[in-house]
Amino acid sequence: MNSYGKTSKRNSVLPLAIGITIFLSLVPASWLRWTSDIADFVRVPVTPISHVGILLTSWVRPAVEPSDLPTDEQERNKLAIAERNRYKQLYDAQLLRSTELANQLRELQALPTSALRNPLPPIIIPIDITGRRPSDIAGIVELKLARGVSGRIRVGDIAVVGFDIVGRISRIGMTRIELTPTTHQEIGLIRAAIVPAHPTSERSPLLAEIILQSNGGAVMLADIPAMSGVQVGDLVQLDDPSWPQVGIGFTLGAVAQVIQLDEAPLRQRVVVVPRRLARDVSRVVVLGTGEEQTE
Amino acid sequence: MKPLIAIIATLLALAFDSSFGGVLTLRSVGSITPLAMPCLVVFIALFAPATITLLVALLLGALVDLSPGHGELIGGGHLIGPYALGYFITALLVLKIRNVVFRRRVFTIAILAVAAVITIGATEALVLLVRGLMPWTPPTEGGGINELIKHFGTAIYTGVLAVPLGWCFLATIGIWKFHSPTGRRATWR
Repeated sequence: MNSYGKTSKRNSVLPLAIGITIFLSLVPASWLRWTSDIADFVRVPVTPISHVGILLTSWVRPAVEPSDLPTDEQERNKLAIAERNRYKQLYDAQLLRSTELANQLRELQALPTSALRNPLPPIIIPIDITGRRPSDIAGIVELKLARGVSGRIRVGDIAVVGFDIVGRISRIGMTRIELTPTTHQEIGLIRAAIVPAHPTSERSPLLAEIILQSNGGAVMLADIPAMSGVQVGDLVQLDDPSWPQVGIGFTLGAVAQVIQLDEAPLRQRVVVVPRRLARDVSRVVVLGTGEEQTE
Repeated sequence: MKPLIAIIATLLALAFDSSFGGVLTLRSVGSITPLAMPCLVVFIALFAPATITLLVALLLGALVDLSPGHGELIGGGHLIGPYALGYFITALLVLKIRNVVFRRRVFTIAILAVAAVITIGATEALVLLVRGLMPWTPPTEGGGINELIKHFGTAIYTGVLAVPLGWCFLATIGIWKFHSPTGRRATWR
């Protein structure tokens, strides 16, 4: 059979396809928002295979545990018991205080007790990772969009692994969710506090308040006063009112380096490295702030 | 070329590059990770008819552009072009030289995969540079010698991956149903 007509048609399609591709590569970003929907559809057949790959990768190469956490089981249990007792004390104290304040408020406003409680506590939602670019530490990570999840998560919600923040939800699509890691440049400036990793009576509980900025790679940078006493290994905790309230106090990373600035002798630069990366795990926990309740 | 086989191979290559590849990531040397898609494009370009090769390369590149971590734009969009044109130019280069290479050798696929990654990287850089010259786009940042070294590392590592992948491709060449232009498979050296 003669295939001349078919080949000729293909030959005419090719310049058109190249022309469209070149055009798309040059147009403003605001004209390309629709590509996220196309990506949602295109990723549908890839996502199940990719999900298996992520689980396999995490099984074969599990994330390295942060070195400052205790590894000995006995010591860990002791620490857990001490922490439990401390938090129980704090909880009891807070409960007494809140009851006292609630009573005062009820007397003043004649409101029922239920109205005094927080109506929207964060919803803890574990979500599987289904895709990422392994070579890019700060690259966008793709999360599985399970049924009933989309209404409970909002753009801007925090994703954590243990006590560590790994990123924020940047987009909730039709078939997937996108997570921007904390080291991604699009995250912008983050207000944080540096606290000692192992509190002692000699060191202040709050060492410095900083403004963190990602370098687009694996670390974040901030300037501190030279007299603040920050050491390598100290923890950097979120203290930013523009982030969801539930994330305040979660760890953004640990101080990996303290550099004296030649041009500003009274200031130092700290290099902050996240302790946990979304790249190294197969599942993250999103602290959802959406209003929709589970069925 | 059988479309179903090409679709399955594409899905596996996309899944490898966005997940399975993490197993092979060299975390201590800048997270260098091998890529499966350049190997697939090189294989198709070695055996498929020219026009189909170019169209498929453009399509596969566009799919890579739509993958997580590639061509991200503010607002969640993806930039279609850097990889699409990169794979297209790679396919064009392979088509130019495929008559003078030993196509049925794993070593050929490995060497061409290394060249493919370098070509794709160069095209991506060119597209981003040209895009940065547009008045509505902020100038392109990043790159530098570290990125260049990492890219060459990725190219070499992809070449290493191309050895087992190329062997798999060549072992299954019968089910791809490629047809040589002259109708004689003997011309595939």
